[in-house]
Amino acid sequence: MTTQYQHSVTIAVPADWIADANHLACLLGESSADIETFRQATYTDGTTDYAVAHTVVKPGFLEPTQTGTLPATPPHAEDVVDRDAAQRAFDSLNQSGGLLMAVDVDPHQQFADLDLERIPQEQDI
Amino acid sequence: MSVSDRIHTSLVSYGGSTIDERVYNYLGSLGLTGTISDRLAKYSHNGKKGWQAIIEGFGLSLSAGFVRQELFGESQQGVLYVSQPSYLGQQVLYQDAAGTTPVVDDGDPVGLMLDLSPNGHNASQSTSAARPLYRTDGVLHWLEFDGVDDYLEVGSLSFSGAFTIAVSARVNSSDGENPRLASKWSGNNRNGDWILSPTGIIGSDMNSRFLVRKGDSNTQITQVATVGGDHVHMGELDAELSIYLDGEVSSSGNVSQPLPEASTSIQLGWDEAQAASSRLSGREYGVVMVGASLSDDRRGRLNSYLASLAGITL
Repeated sequence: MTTQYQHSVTIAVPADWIADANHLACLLGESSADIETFRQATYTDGTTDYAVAHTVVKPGFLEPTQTGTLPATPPHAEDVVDRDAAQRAFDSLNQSGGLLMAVDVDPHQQFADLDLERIPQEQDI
Repeated sequence: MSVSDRIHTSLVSYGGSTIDERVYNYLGSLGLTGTISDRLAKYSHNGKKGWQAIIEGFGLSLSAGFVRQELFGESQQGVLYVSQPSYLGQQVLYQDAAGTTPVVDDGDPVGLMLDLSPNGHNASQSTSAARPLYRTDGVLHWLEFDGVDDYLEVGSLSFSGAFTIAVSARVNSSDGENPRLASKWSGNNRNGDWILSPTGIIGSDMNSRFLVRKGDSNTQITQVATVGGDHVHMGELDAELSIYLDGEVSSSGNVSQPLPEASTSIQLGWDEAQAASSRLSGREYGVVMVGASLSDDRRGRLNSYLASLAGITL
């Protein structure tokens, strides 16, 4: 047996897009808690701060990037997701100023390639 | 011959490569059914029950069941996590936080890890992207944290006095950072918070570190680990603060326990403050937290058990 989670995605979300990105994550995800996938910006390119995520996904997760169409709202997201917000986030994928997503890459290398560095915090203990 | 060897040898005819498997099979031969916990609950010997009966009959053993009995047999608070999909008939890992889809295959995400102690403090992650992965090489089993957003939530388990935290782990990278193996850390200066967190740079000045917060100050103790790879990290707070790395101890810093309680949630692989530098990139093979300091013998056996989960011998 092999896992159904055949791919991984690495996503960087500009701070201004966090709310919309969470609706997209919930729509494509597996839990209503995915509405909190992106919480705070912890990386920066010096101009824009980003919240980041990395996760394994089933092949179906990537279908919308091939068809251009978001899936029907799954039961876990029915009372949570704002499809308009999710659509905005989806339309911004890999567009200038929008969400950045890469498939099957090392997330730390991806952040380095994007010139993203961790934002130091006051209590970095 | 050690007691654990005596048990292992005594039950050799029942098959299985581990003591637990042999005990499981032995109890099955007596007509007892269910998980090993079910079978032990029904088993008695010379007026004792469960593992105590096995120990009474065959000597001591080195196993999760033994750790459970020895560390938690007197109703101590704490947890026992073993990063295996199932444990002697009992499903332990699930893909979702609700526990509806079992972890089966290498690469499955882990949304729920059951506590094998009697306390029922299961660790969970309800957000899909933040779930660590179950990984195996066919022999060893571990949770892989990605160093980006993975962690498990234990909840607000608290200890009223002395306590011990132990994790067998491999840290993949720590470029001057502080990846949390286990922590109760809000970042808001709460009394009683603590961190078990290697710090430094792998291969040069890596340290295993245990830090606690009391009042306005942090007290920490470190033990040098100049190489990467698999280690058993153990922090203990009693009359003083101690860090054990693969059983070797450094102690100092009388923090006059018991510490005041903190409401901070315990997490594996990150902390409540969620600084980027605190995210664990690496493996966790097993985790034990117990509301007590340990005798040298018990500490040694726990270290050996956790080391065995990582495939190392101390």
